[in-house]
Amino acid sequence: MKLMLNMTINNEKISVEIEPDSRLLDVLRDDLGLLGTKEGCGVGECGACTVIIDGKTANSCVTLAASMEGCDIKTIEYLSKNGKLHPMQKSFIDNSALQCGFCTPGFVLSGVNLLERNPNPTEEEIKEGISGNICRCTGYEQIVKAVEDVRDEKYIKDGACDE
Amino acid sequence: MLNYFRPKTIKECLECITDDRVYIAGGTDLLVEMRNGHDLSKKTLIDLSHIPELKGVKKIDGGLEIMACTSHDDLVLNKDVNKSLKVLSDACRTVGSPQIRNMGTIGGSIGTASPASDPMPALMLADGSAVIINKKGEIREEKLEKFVVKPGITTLKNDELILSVKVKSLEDYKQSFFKIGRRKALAIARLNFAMAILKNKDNTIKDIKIVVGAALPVTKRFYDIEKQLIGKKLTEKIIEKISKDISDQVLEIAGPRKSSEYKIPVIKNIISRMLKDMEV
Amino acid sequence: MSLFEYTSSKYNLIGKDIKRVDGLEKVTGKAIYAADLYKKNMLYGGNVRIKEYPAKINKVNIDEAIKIPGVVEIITCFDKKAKKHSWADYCYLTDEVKFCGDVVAIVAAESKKTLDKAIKSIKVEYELQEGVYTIEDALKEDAPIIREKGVGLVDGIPSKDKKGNIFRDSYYPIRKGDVEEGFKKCDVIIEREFTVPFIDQAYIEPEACIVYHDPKDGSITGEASAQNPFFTRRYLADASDCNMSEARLIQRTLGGSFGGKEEGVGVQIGRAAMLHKATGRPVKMVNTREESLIDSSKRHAINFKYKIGATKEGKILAIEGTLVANCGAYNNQTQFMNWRASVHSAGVYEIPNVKTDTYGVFTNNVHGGAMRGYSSPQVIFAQEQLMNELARALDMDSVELRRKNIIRQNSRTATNQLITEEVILEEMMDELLKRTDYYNKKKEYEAFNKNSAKIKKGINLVSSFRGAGLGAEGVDANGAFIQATEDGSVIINTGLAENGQGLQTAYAQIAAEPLGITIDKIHFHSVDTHAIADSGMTVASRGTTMGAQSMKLAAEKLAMLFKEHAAEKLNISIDRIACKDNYFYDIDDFPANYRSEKRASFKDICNERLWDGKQMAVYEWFRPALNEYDHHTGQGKAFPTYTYNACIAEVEIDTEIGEIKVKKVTSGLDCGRVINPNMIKGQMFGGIVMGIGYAITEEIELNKGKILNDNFDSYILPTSMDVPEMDLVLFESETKEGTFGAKSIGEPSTEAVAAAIAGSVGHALNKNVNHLPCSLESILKYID
Repeated sequence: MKLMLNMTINNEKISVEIEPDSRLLDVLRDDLGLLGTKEGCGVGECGACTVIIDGKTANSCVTLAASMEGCDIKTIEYLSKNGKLHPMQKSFIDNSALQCGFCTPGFVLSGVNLLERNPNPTEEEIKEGISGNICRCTGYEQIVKAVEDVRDEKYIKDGACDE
Repeated sequence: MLNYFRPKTIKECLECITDDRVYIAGGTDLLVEMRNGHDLSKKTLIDLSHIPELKGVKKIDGGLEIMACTSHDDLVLNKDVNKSLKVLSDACRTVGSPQIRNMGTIGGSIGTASPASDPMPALMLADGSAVIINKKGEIREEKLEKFVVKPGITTLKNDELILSVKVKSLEDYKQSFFKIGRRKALAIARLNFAMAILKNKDNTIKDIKIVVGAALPVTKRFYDIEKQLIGKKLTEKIIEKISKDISDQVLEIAGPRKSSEYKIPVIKNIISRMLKDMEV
Repeated sequence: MSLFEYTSSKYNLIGKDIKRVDGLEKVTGKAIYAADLYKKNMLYGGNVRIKEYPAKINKVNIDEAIKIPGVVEIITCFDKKAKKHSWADYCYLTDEVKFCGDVVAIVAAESKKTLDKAIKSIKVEYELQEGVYTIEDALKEDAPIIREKGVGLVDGIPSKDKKGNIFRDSYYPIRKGDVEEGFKKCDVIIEREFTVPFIDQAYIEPEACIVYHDPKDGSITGEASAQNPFFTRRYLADASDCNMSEARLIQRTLGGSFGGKEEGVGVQIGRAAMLHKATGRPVKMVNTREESLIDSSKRHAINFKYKIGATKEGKILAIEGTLVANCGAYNNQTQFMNWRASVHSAGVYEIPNVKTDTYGVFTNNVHGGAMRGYSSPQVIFAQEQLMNELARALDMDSVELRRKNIIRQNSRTATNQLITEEVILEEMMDELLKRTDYYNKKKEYEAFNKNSAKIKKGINLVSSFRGAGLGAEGVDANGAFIQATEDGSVIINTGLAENGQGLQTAYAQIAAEPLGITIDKIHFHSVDTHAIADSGMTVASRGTTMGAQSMKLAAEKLAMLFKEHAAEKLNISIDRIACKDNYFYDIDDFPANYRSEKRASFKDICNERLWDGKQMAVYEWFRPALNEYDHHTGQGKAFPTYTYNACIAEVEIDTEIGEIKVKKVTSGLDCGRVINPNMIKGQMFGGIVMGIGYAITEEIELNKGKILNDNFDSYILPTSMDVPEMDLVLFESETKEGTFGAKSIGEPSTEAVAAAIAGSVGHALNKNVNHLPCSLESILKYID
């Protein structure tokens, strides 16, 4: 059984033929070529596959693609779509908040989504906001700092961050 | 061949139900099971994620009705839950991670019947019962401690669907939730506890509710011990006795296992600590 | 004072917070990791394993699998096409399964789903055999012999005259002075045992590779998540049965390694190469997390037995020890790792009499390998708890005991190496003691603990050192290639690899500094084995301290050529040429006047040289002086230089549930020369959190060789919410060794952390913490 899945990905309406038991992660990577979404564990523990679904983060490795009918999905590719870096991306670079980079797209999206939902989080709330993403390299400290800098509006949105 | 249905109403959903049905709501448990070998290839997969009727929290007489596909995150934020059953929102906040809380649902949390479920102690504390509908549209209600039979097994029949969970309001009670995990996020409960106390003016106990999770195959509420305490004051002696009685009961039911070595003394310590904290 | 300060650097780029040169690709999700590669006509490869070990395979039934549409190739261990043994100790395929990672068949299919289906439908018939799983059992006289090459103990020493389970090549003794005599003069002697479990590197990117035929040059090309591309090429050529010159390995962006993407990735690419050879099509293999956990090497489990003695004043006179590592079923690492373990087996202390024996035993477990420290986190844990115990026995403050015995300038180490360089360890300790208010806190916590049954508080300082680079383990040689282009930009290329640690950025700084150009002019060419020579492995925290030596040499040589050119052009003598920000100047005009007209741009010089046919590229080779070392006695110069480390952990323990809250970790590191402060801090923050995992939650749980916790829901890594307050202190010291004087950073950042946490737990509970991890359950056991 195959079915057509219609969803909005990074502001673009997309229809793709899928199998009903496919994971959203595989559809994004294998069918749509959105390779910034990574697979680290496949059981929803590491957060490398984080995407934003209808305004909230989710692990695409434990999300059924078929359930995404009509949903609005944002992946890491969305953030720098217009050729500019999102302030969160700029802040990650400036704060050395990444090393191997494999977990980075997931962290950036968790950070962005956290500030969308709570523009003024405390340090503890930031730590909670990124707690579904595991990083083995950085020890999280500089990631928390990167989110704090964006919270503190160190970067002027839209325009200040040339790629 | 896997059949897949994505009904938009409860009525449509009931029509899809077959003997080989498998439900999916958030997917956070089912997709892990599929990865671990749960073969769906000859099953009927019913996707509950597009049924608006199954989402949200309704006020009912004396409590709340939480629809089955309400996410943990919604329960963390829901005003009515925070007002009448704070302990549930506290418990939901300890589930997995933000991503899991955004996708995972309360119905899933009950339906998978995990002994380490974090919302379960809070739900049982509030006399939670599962509201179940069958293919014919008949509705039954069952207390959660009956509904959950053993790990992974509930009384839900093949032609049934969990509609909601009804809980009593504990607005007047002092409530508390405590979880022990190996880390502060993404933690599976090693043990979890929920407690609620209502006092009389003379500081005697008007009502008390105590639940321990992750210690036994099914999360347990200690009704008999609760009853003994009504009208009493929480003296140090009583606290000592209750915590010992509860840990003794757990040991009696569980039998001596490797994990008991850790869990039994810790249950005693934590019950005592929570009762003391409630007294302050 | 040797505290690093931002203003202290006399350089343009060295010692500055240069932003990561690979940051943009990584924050945008555009960086391509091996699993992100898709080729036209590509097949997915996978492995068939069994779930009990050891076992003799009788039959691999593929009848059902081969009928599945989309299954293209199956090679079983009985197949003529199968190459079973790799060039190293490990097997690509085997009919004698010795551990959980062993593979009995490999499959190639058109899709991932078909592949999974095929693997599940393959039935393996086998006979279970008697296995050996623990170090204790492996050493028993009647233990089954796991490996032909295993030897036994004669008078406590591994000897080839006897059969057994000991990996003979991994045996290293240290014999310094006379321990018997030493112990006779001691007032206090204690004996203690310690154990540590296997743990996993747990990089977030699981191992992946793709093997294909590149028609451009006919090479068999592998692209892989390889920590050591040349090492991985060996497996690619070996399994493809071709010349190494025909096997090309390209390292993709690596999603973390910490020592783990060595043999596992090698064996994986060997299997992919076999499927590629059989099908003629590109084959991609990507491990699941479960496969990564069962197949990849682990930080070795080690059992320690120590005896140490001191005078009542606290002068340590003798130490004796046996360190036995669990090698697993196959091993290509313990013979190197144990050398390092033996060198550091007496800690960072000057002890006149030392006798230690270090060896590994074969068991039917996953193999031990490299993981950030290469024995040091284990050894420092045991050694430092031993110091705490000795202090307790002497009724002496543990810091004072350390102070009385630490290695200083002109001390002799356990290998009798005379330390001639500056040693700033005591100064580091004092700075950390001051910053943490150690003595007051210690007093305060001890008073608090007397009155508190539920909560206990502890603080502990540990000190350690680490030989920088390979030392006498191998030759720390390396080569680098720099080429300038006519627009003034520069490509740098080396055999050492970016593994996430920031090597590209550090190398860009090291190359740009002598050339006087800005970082944006440098492009780092990541490793392609067809484009650069083997420079040894990116291991042992050698990348910057030793591996970049050739990069500096090459940059200096190219700079000299360009300075000559500039001198001629500006008509001044070469010794008056200075360079900065892509310009050459007269030194008199510099820096006050460096917008002066008397300057030549790097770009113009490049352009002129190209059209004049003058040299624009340099390849340089660096080979350090060899260390004189006697492996029979363990005496001699082990390393050219050492990184010193002091670490203080503070904990609060909830004794009713066994929960440890790490309140603060203060870590001091002797960096030699700081190259990039922010990136060093990144290493240190990450190292501390990795150390917290080792101290409290991480352990590979084994049952008869089967790994029970094979994903991140049960293998417990620290999250952002488990991170304590961290205070980092960067020190600089004088050394003639190391690129610009830099010492090792990556491994020292983590190696003392678990020891410090365990020590503070020991202080809080007034107990000897003799095992890692300090889990909820283990803490309750320490409580009376």
